[in-house]
Amino acid sequence: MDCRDLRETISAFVDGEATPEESSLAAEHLASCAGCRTIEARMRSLEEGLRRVHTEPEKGFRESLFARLEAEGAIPPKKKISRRPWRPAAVALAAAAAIGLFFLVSRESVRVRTAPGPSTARVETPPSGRPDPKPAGGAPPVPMEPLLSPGTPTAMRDIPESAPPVAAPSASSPALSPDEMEMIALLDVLSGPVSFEAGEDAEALDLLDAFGGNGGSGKFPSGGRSGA
Amino acid sequence: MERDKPSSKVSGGRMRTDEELMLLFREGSRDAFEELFSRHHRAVVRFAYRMTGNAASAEEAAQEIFLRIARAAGTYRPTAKFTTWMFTIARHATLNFLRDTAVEGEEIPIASAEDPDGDAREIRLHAPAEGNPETVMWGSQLKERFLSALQELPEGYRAAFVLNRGDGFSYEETAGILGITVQAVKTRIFRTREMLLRSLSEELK
Ligand SMILES: [Zn+2]
Repeated sequence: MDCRDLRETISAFVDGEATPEESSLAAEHLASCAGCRTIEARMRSLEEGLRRVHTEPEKGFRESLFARLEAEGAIPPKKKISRRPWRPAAVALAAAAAIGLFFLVSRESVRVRTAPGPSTARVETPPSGRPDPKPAGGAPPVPMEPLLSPGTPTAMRDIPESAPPVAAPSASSPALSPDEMEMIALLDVLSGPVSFEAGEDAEALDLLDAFGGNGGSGKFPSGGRSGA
Repeated sequence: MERDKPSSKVSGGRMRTDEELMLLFREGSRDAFEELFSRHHRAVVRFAYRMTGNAASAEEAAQEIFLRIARAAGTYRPTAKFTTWMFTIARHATLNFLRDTAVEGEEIPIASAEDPDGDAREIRLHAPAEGNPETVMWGSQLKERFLSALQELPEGYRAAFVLNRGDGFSYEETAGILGITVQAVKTRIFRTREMLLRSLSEELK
Protein backbone atom coordinates (compact mmCIF):
# COMPACT_ATOMS: atom_id res chain seq x y z
CA MET A 1 0.00 0.00 0.00
CA ASP A 2 1.60 3.23 -1.03
CA CYS A 3 1.50 6.57 0.69
CA ARG A 4 -1.27 7.97 -1.44
CA ASP A 5 -3.60 5.17 -0.50
CA LEU A 6 -2.97 5.79 3.16
CA ARG A 7 -3.57 9.51 3.24
CA GLU A 8 -7.31 9.31 3.79
CA THR A 9 -6.71 6.88 6.63
CA ILE A 10 -4.13 9.23 8.08
CA SER A 11 -6.68 12.03 7.85
CA ALA A 12 -9.19 9.96 9.83
CA PHE A 13 -6.41 9.02 12.22
CA VAL A 14 -5.72 12.71 12.82
CA ASP A 15 -9.40 13.14 13.67
CA GLY A 16 -9.45 10.17 16.02
CA GLU A 17 -11.95 8.51 13.69
CA ALA A 18 -9.85 5.62 12.40
CA THR A 19 -10.67 2.10 13.48
CA PRO A 20 -8.12 0.39 15.73
CA GLU A 21 -6.78 -1.53 12.74
CA GLU A 22 -6.51 1.61 10.63
CA SER A 23 -4.88 3.43 13.50
CA SER A 24 -2.11 0.92 13.93
CA LEU A 25 -1.63 0.79 10.18
CA ALA A 26 -1.34 4.58 10.08
CA ALA A 27 0.91 4.79 13.11
CA GLU A 28 3.18 2.11 11.76
CA HIS A 29 3.49 3.84 8.42
CA LEU A 30 4.02 7.27 9.92
CA ALA A 31 6.86 5.93 12.03
CA SER A 32 8.75 4.99 8.92
CA CYS A 33 7.71 7.66 6.37
CA ALA A 34 8.87 11.24 6.70
CA GLY A 35 6.74 12.40 3.79
CA CYS A 36 3.53 11.23 5.41
CA ARG A 37 4.62 12.67 8.74
CA THR A 38 4.89 16.02 7.02
CA ILE A 39 1.46 15.64 5.53
CA GLU A 40 0.09 14.63 8.89
CA ALA A 41 1.61 17.69 10.55
CA ARG A 42 0.16 19.96 7.92
CA MET A 43 -3.23 18.37 8.24
CA ARG A 44 -3.11 19.06 11.95
CA SER A 45 -1.93 22.58 11.36
CA LEU A 46 -5.12 23.39 9.47
CA GLU A 47 -6.86 23.41 12.83
CA GLU A 48 -5.09 26.64 13.62
CA GLY A 49 -6.40 28.27 10.47
CA LEU A 50 -9.96 27.23 11.17
CA ARG A 51 -9.65 28.37 14.76
CA ARG A 52 -8.73 31.85 13.60
CA VAL A 53 -11.78 32.11 11.38
CA HIS A 54 -14.37 33.36 13.80
CA THR A 55 -16.42 36.46 14.42
CA GLU A 56 -18.52 37.83 17.23
CA PRO A 57 -22.07 38.99 16.67
CA GLU A 58 -22.58 42.75 16.62
CA LYS A 59 -24.18 44.46 19.57
CA GLY A 60 -27.64 44.76 18.12
CA PHE A 61 -27.82 41.17 17.00
CA ARG A 62 -29.85 39.85 19.87
CA GLU A 63 -32.25 42.78 19.99
CA SER A 64 -33.05 42.75 16.31
CA LEU A 65 -33.48 38.99 16.28
CA PHE A 66 -35.87 39.00 19.23
CA ALA A 67 -37.82 41.86 17.72
CA ARG A 68 -38.29 39.79 14.58
CA LEU A 69 -39.25 36.72 16.59
CA GLU A 70 -41.85 38.68 18.52
CA ALA A 71 -43.21 40.43 15.47
CA GLU A 72 -43.70 37.10 13.85
CA GLY A 73 -45.26 35.57 16.93
CA ALA A 74 -42.60 32.87 17.00
CA ILE A 75 -41.87 33.40 20.67
CA PRO A 76 -44.10 34.55 23.51
CA PRO A 77 -43.86 38.20 24.51
CA LYS A 78 -41.58 39.32 27.27
CA LYS A 79 -44.34 39.94 29.82
CA LYS A 80 -44.90 37.46 32.55
CA ILE A 81 -48.63 37.83 32.67
CA SER A 82 -49.79 34.51 31.54
CA ARG A 83 -48.63 31.21 32.85
CA ARG A 84 -50.78 29.34 30.46
CA PRO A 85 -49.04 26.73 28.42
CA TRP A 86 -48.08 28.17 25.11
CA ARG A 87 -47.09 26.58 21.88
CA PRO A 88 -45.54 28.42 19.03
CA ALA A 89 -48.09 30.72 17.53
CA ALA A 90 -50.52 28.11 16.32
CA VAL A 91 -52.18 27.49 19.63
CA ALA A 92 -52.56 31.13 20.41
CA LEU A 93 -53.99 31.76 17.00
CA ALA A 94 -56.38 28.88 17.35
CA ALA A 95 -57.44 30.17 20.73
CA ALA A 96 -57.90 33.62 19.31
CA ALA A 97 -60.02 32.24 16.52
CA ALA A 98 -62.17 30.28 18.89
CA ILE A 99 -62.63 33.21 21.20
CA GLY A 100 -63.25 35.59 18.38
CA LEU A 101 -65.95 33.35 17.08
CA PHE A 102 -67.36 32.98 20.52
CA PHE A 103 -67.72 36.68 21.01
CA LEU A 104 -69.09 37.18 17.56
CA VAL A 105 -71.72 34.55 18.16
CA SER A 106 -72.71 35.55 21.65
CA ARG A 107 -71.90 39.22 21.59
CA GLU A 108 -75.13 40.33 23.17
CA SER A 109 -74.58 38.30 26.27
CA VAL A 110 -70.97 39.05 26.89
CA ARG A 111 -69.44 42.25 28.00
CA VAL A 112 -66.31 42.78 26.02
CA ARG A 113 -63.70 44.93 27.56
CA THR A 114 -62.66 47.19 24.72
CA ALA A 115 -60.46 49.59 26.56
CA PRO A 116 -57.25 49.55 24.62
CA GLY A 117 -55.11 50.52 27.57
CA PRO A 118 -54.42 47.65 29.89
CA SER A 119 -54.94 44.96 27.41
CA THR A 120 -52.92 41.93 28.27
CA ALA A 121 -51.51 39.00 26.54
CA ARG A 122 -53.76 36.72 28.45
CA VAL A 123 -56.20 34.80 26.40
CA GLU A 124 -59.30 33.90 28.35
CA THR A 125 -61.21 30.82 27.59
CA PRO A 126 -64.96 31.16 27.39
CA PRO A 127 -66.75 30.63 30.67
CA SER A 128 -67.74 27.07 31.08
CA GLY A 129 -71.37 26.22 30.79
CA ARG A 130 -71.99 28.39 27.79
CA PRO A 131 -72.73 26.70 24.53
CA ASP A 132 -69.58 26.34 22.56
CA PRO A 133 -69.60 28.07 19.22
CA LYS A 134 -67.24 25.48 17.86
CA PRO A 135 -67.27 21.79 18.49
CA ALA A 136 -63.56 21.99 19.09
CA GLY A 137 -64.16 24.04 22.20
CA GLY A 138 -61.62 26.30 23.80
CA ALA A 139 -58.11 25.95 22.57
CA PRO A 140 -57.22 22.63 21.07
CA PRO A 141 -53.52 22.16 20.80
CA VAL A 142 -52.64 22.61 17.23
CA PRO A 143 -49.44 21.02 16.03
CA MET A 144 -46.99 22.98 13.99
CA GLU A 145 -47.38 20.84 10.93
CA PRO A 146 -49.91 23.07 9.19
CA LEU A 147 -47.44 25.91 9.30
CA LEU A 148 -45.01 23.78 7.41
CA SER A 149 -47.45 22.84 4.76
CA PRO A 150 -45.93 23.10 1.33
CA GLY A 151 -49.12 24.91 0.46
CA THR A 152 -47.75 27.98 2.10
CA PRO A 153 -47.63 30.31 -0.83
CA THR A 154 -44.24 31.70 -0.12
CA ALA A 155 -40.84 31.31 -1.53
CA MET A 156 -40.96 28.04 -3.34
CA ARG A 157 -37.61 29.07 -4.60
CA ASP A 158 -35.69 26.19 -3.24
CA ILE A 159 -35.48 22.81 -4.63
CA PRO A 160 -34.45 20.60 -1.76
CA GLU A 161 -30.93 19.37 -2.15
CA SER A 162 -30.80 16.16 -4.00
CA ALA A 163 -28.38 13.47 -3.07
CA PRO A 164 -24.87 14.67 -3.57
CA PRO A 165 -23.04 12.63 -6.14
CA VAL A 166 -20.17 11.88 -3.86
CA ALA A 167 -22.00 9.54 -1.58
CA ALA A 168 -25.07 7.48 -1.31
CA PRO A 169 -27.45 9.23 1.03
CA SER A 170 -27.69 7.34 4.23
CA ALA A 171 -31.23 6.66 5.24
CA SER A 172 -29.99 5.38 8.53
CA SER A 173 -28.09 8.36 9.77
CA PRO A 174 -27.88 8.10 13.50
CA ALA A 175 -28.80 11.57 14.51
CA LEU A 176 -31.89 12.56 12.59
CA SER A 177 -34.55 10.37 11.16
CA PRO A 178 -35.46 10.77 7.50
CA ASP A 179 -38.70 12.34 8.67
CA GLU A 180 -36.83 14.92 10.62
CA MET A 181 -34.51 15.66 7.74
CA GLU A 182 -37.52 16.10 5.51
CA MET A 183 -39.15 18.37 8.03
CA ILE A 184 -36.08 20.54 8.16
CA ALA A 185 -35.90 20.58 4.39
CA LEU A 186 -39.50 21.74 4.35
CA LEU A 187 -38.49 24.66 6.49
CA ASP A 188 -36.79 25.98 3.43
CA VAL A 189 -40.12 26.84 1.92
CA LEU A 190 -40.83 29.15 4.79
CA SER A 191 -39.35 32.53 4.40
CA GLY A 192 -39.87 35.48 6.57
CA PRO A 193 -42.71 36.55 8.79
CA VAL A 194 -45.40 35.93 6.23
CA SER A 195 -45.53 32.30 7.23
CA PHE A 196 -48.05 32.94 9.96
CA GLU A 197 -50.15 35.21 7.84
CA ALA A 198 -51.44 32.79 5.31
CA GLY A 199 -54.78 31.14 5.14
CA GLU A 200 -56.50 30.28 8.35
CA ASP A 201 -54.09 32.24 10.45
CA ALA A 202 -55.00 35.41 8.68
CA GLU A 203 -58.64 34.62 9.29
CA ALA A 204 -57.91 34.06 12.93
CA LEU A 205 -56.27 37.44 13.13
CA ASP A 206 -59.17 39.09 11.38
CA LEU A 207 -61.51 37.55 13.90
CA LEU A 208 -59.34 38.76 16.67
CA ASP A 209 -59.50 42.26 15.29
CA ALA A 210 -63.22 42.03 14.92
CA PHE A 211 -63.60 41.19 18.53
CA GLY A 212 -60.91 43.33 20.04
CA GLY A 213 -61.58 46.31 17.87
CA ASN A 214 -58.08 47.66 18.25
CA GLY A 215 -55.84 44.83 17.23
CA GLY A 216 -53.15 46.84 18.87
CA SER A 217 -49.99 45.87 20.55
CA GLY A 218 -50.01 43.89 23.71
CA LYS A 219 -51.82 40.91 22.30
CA PHE A 220 -49.37 38.21 21.56
CA PRO A 221 -50.92 36.83 18.39
CA SER A 222 -51.70 40.17 16.86
CA GLY A 223 -48.08 41.10 16.81
CA GLY A 224 -47.73 38.94 13.75
CA ARG A 225 -49.48 41.44 11.59
CA SER A 226 -46.75 43.96 11.94
CA GLY A 227 -44.43 41.64 10.13
CA ALA A 228 -46.46 41.72 6.94
CA MET B 1 -32.27 13.85 39.01
CA GLU B 2 -30.09 16.55 40.50
CA ARG B 3 -27.01 17.44 38.59
CA ASP B 4 -23.89 19.10 39.67
CA LYS B 5 -24.39 22.44 38.03
CA PRO B 6 -25.90 25.43 39.81
CA SER B 7 -29.15 26.78 38.59
CA SER B 8 -29.81 28.68 35.45
CA LYS B 9 -32.69 31.06 35.51
CA VAL B 10 -34.84 28.58 33.68
CA SER B 11 -34.12 25.56 35.71
CA GLY B 12 -35.19 26.45 39.19
CA GLY B 13 -32.50 24.26 40.65
CA ARG B 14 -30.43 22.51 38.07
CA MET B 15 -28.99 22.97 34.65
CA ARG B 16 -31.45 22.04 31.97
CA THR B 17 -30.28 20.15 28.96
CA ASP B 18 -30.78 21.73 25.58
CA GLU B 19 -33.39 19.10 24.85
CA GLU B 20 -35.34 19.94 27.98
CA LEU B 21 -35.16 23.63 27.16
CA MET B 22 -36.50 22.99 23.69
CA LEU B 23 -39.44 21.09 25.12
CA LEU B 24 -40.05 23.87 27.63
CA PHE B 25 -40.01 26.34 24.78
CA ARG B 26 -42.63 24.29 23.00
CA GLU B 27 -44.71 24.55 26.14
CA GLY B 28 -44.47 28.30 26.09
CA SER B 29 -41.34 29.25 27.96
CA ARG B 30 -39.67 32.25 26.44
CA ASP B 31 -36.94 31.95 29.05
CA ALA B 32 -36.11 28.54 27.68
CA PHE B 33 -35.63 29.97 24.21
CA GLU B 34 -33.52 32.81 25.55
CA GLU B 35 -31.34 30.32 27.36
CA LEU B 36 -30.89 28.26 24.21
CA PHE B 37 -30.02 31.43 22.35
CA SER B 38 -27.47 32.42 24.97
CA ARG B 39 -25.85 29.03 24.87
CA HIS B 40 -25.61 28.66 21.13
CA HIS B 41 -25.72 31.94 19.28
CA ARG B 42 -21.96 32.37 19.19
CA ALA B 43 -21.48 28.94 17.69
CA VAL B 44 -24.23 29.59 15.18
CA VAL B 45 -22.77 32.92 14.10
CA ARG B 46 -19.31 31.39 13.82
CA PHE B 47 -20.62 28.50 11.76
CA ALA B 48 -22.47 30.89 9.48
CA TYR B 49 -19.34 33.00 9.16
CA ARG B 50 -17.27 30.05 8.07
CA MET B 51 -19.95 28.93 5.66
CA THR B 52 -20.76 32.29 4.09
CA GLY B 53 -17.39 33.98 4.27
CA ASN B 54 -18.29 37.34 5.73
CA ALA B 55 -19.50 38.73 9.00
CA ALA B 56 -22.57 40.60 7.78
CA SER B 57 -23.83 37.56 5.90
CA ALA B 58 -23.13 35.45 8.95
CA GLU B 59 -25.37 37.59 11.12
CA GLU B 60 -28.11 37.63 8.57
CA ALA B 61 -27.95 33.87 8.15
CA ALA B 62 -27.75 33.35 11.91
CA GLN B 63 -30.93 35.37 12.39
CA GLU B 64 -32.63 33.19 9.84
CA ILE B 65 -31.37 30.12 11.68
CA PHE B 66 -32.90 31.18 14.97
CA LEU B 67 -36.13 32.17 13.27
CA ARG B 68 -36.29 28.70 11.78
CA ILE B 69 -35.54 27.10 15.13
CA ALA B 70 -38.38 29.00 16.75
CA ARG B 71 -40.77 28.23 13.92
CA ALA B 72 -39.85 24.58 13.89
CA ALA B 73 -40.17 24.07 17.62
CA GLY B 74 -43.28 22.00 17.05
CA THR B 75 -41.41 19.56 14.86
CA TYR B 76 -38.56 19.05 17.28
CA ARG B 77 -38.38 15.56 18.69
CA PRO B 78 -35.95 14.92 21.49
CA THR B 79 -34.80 11.74 19.77
CA ALA B 80 -32.02 13.74 18.20
CA LYS B 81 -29.45 15.76 20.06
CA PHE B 82 -30.56 19.36 20.02
CA THR B 83 -27.29 20.63 18.58
CA THR B 84 -27.46 18.09 15.77
CA TRP B 85 -30.95 19.27 14.94
CA MET B 86 -29.91 22.91 15.25
CA PHE B 87 -26.91 22.53 12.95
CA THR B 88 -29.00 20.65 10.41
CA ILE B 89 -31.22 23.71 10.29
CA ALA B 90 -28.17 25.95 10.26
CA ARG B 91 -26.65 24.18 7.30
CA HIS B 92 -29.89 24.38 5.32
CA ALA B 93 -30.24 28.04 6.15
CA THR B 94 -26.70 28.93 5.13
CA LEU B 95 -27.03 26.92 1.94
CA ASN B 96 -30.20 28.80 1.08
CA PHE B 97 -28.50 32.02 1.92
CA LEU B 98 -25.65 31.23 -0.45
CA ARG B 99 -28.07 30.32 -3.20
CA ASP B 100 -30.11 33.45 -2.65
CA THR B 101 -27.11 35.71 -2.74
CA ALA B 102 -25.36 33.94 -5.58
CA VAL B 103 -24.94 35.90 -8.75
CA GLU B 104 -27.57 34.98 -11.29
CA GLY B 105 -26.63 31.77 -13.02
CA GLU B 106 -23.88 30.96 -10.60
CA GLU B 107 -24.05 27.50 -9.12
CA ILE B 108 -23.27 26.71 -5.55
CA PRO B 109 -21.25 23.54 -5.81
CA ILE B 110 -22.30 21.24 -3.03
CA ALA B 111 -20.25 18.16 -3.53
CA SER B 112 -19.12 18.13 -7.09
CA ALA B 113 -15.48 17.81 -6.23
CA GLU B 114 -15.59 14.22 -5.14
CA ASP B 115 -12.39 13.76 -7.03
CA PRO B 116 -11.58 17.32 -7.95
CA ASP B 117 -8.33 16.80 -9.69
CA GLY B 118 -7.49 13.24 -9.13
CA ASP B 119 -4.02 12.18 -8.32
CA ALA B 120 -2.62 14.59 -10.86
CA ARG B 121 -2.68 17.40 -8.34
CA GLU B 122 -1.52 15.45 -5.35
CA ILE B 123 -0.11 17.77 -2.79
CA ARG B 124 3.59 17.91 -3.14
CA LEU B 125 5.21 18.70 0.13
CA HIS B 126 8.84 18.41 0.87
CA ALA B 127 10.06 17.41 4.24
CA PRO B 128 10.86 20.38 6.44
CA ALA B 129 14.51 21.28 6.46
CA GLU B 130 14.94 21.29 10.19
CA GLY B 131 13.31 18.00 10.81
CA ASN B 132 10.53 18.74 13.30
CA PRO B 133 7.34 18.03 11.41
CA GLU B 134 5.18 18.81 14.44
CA THR B 135 5.73 22.50 13.93
CA VAL B 136 4.08 24.15 10.98
CA MET B 137 4.30 27.89 10.81
CA TRP B 138 1.62 30.00 9.21
CA GLY B 139 1.99 33.44 7.82
CA SER B 140 0.29 36.48 9.22
CA GLN B 141 -2.50 36.56 6.67
CA LEU B 142 -3.72 33.15 7.70
CA LYS B 143 -7.20 34.19 8.79
CA GLU B 144 -8.07 36.00 5.59
CA ARG B 145 -6.44 33.43 3.38
CA PHE B 146 -8.07 30.57 5.23
CA LEU B 147 -11.49 32.18 5.08
CA SER B 148 -11.24 32.66 1.35
CA ALA B 149 -9.80 29.18 0.83
CA LEU B 150 -12.82 27.80 2.68
CA GLN B 151 -15.15 29.64 0.31
CA GLU B 152 -13.50 28.02 -2.69
CA LEU B 153 -14.50 24.58 -1.47
CA PRO B 154 -17.69 22.89 -2.55
CA GLU B 155 -20.31 23.74 0.06
CA GLY B 156 -20.77 20.13 1.18
CA TYR B 157 -17.05 19.74 1.77
CA ARG B 158 -16.81 22.99 3.66
CA ALA B 159 -19.78 21.96 5.81
CA ALA B 160 -18.30 18.56 6.63
CA PHE B 161 -14.95 20.08 7.56
CA VAL B 162 -16.40 22.93 9.60
CA LEU B 163 -18.87 20.73 11.47
CA ASN B 164 -16.26 18.15 12.35
CA ARG B 165 -13.16 20.24 12.90
CA GLY B 166 -14.83 23.45 14.01
CA ASP B 167 -17.92 22.41 15.89
CA GLY B 168 -16.78 19.13 17.31
CA PHE B 169 -19.29 16.81 15.69
CA SER B 170 -18.07 13.28 15.15
CA TYR B 171 -17.98 11.84 11.65
CA GLU B 172 -21.20 10.03 12.49
CA GLU B 173 -22.94 13.15 13.73
CA THR B 174 -21.67 15.13 10.76
CA ALA B 175 -23.02 12.43 8.48
CA GLY B 176 -26.40 12.74 10.16
CA ILE B 177 -26.44 16.51 9.78
CA LEU B 178 -25.47 16.40 6.12
CA GLY B 179 -27.52 13.33 5.25
CA ILE B 180 -24.54 11.45 3.86
CA THR B 181 -22.59 8.36 4.89
CA VAL B 182 -19.79 8.31 7.40
CA GLN B 183 -17.44 7.18 4.63
CA ALA B 184 -18.45 10.24 2.61
CA VAL B 185 -17.66 12.47 5.56
CA LYS B 186 -14.27 10.85 5.88
CA THR B 187 -13.57 11.39 2.19
CA ARG B 188 -14.82 14.97 2.19
CA ILE B 189 -12.68 15.91 5.14
CA PHE B 190 -9.61 14.37 3.58
CA ARG B 191 -10.27 16.06 0.23
CA THR B 192 -10.91 19.33 2.01
CA ARG B 193 -7.55 19.10 3.70
CA GLU B 194 -5.88 18.46 0.38
CA MET B 195 -7.61 21.43 -1.23
CA LEU B 196 -6.91 23.73 1.69
CA LEU B 197 -3.25 22.79 1.85
CA ARG B 198 -2.98 23.34 -1.87
CA SER B 199 -4.52 26.79 -1.81
CA LEU B 200 -2.70 27.78 1.35
CA SER B 201 0.69 26.50 0.27
CA GLU B 202 2.04 30.01 -0.06
CA GLU B 203 0.92 30.80 3.42
CA LEU B 204 3.03 28.01 4.83
CA LYS B 205 6.37 29.28 6.01
ZN1 LIG C 1 4.14 7.60 3.38
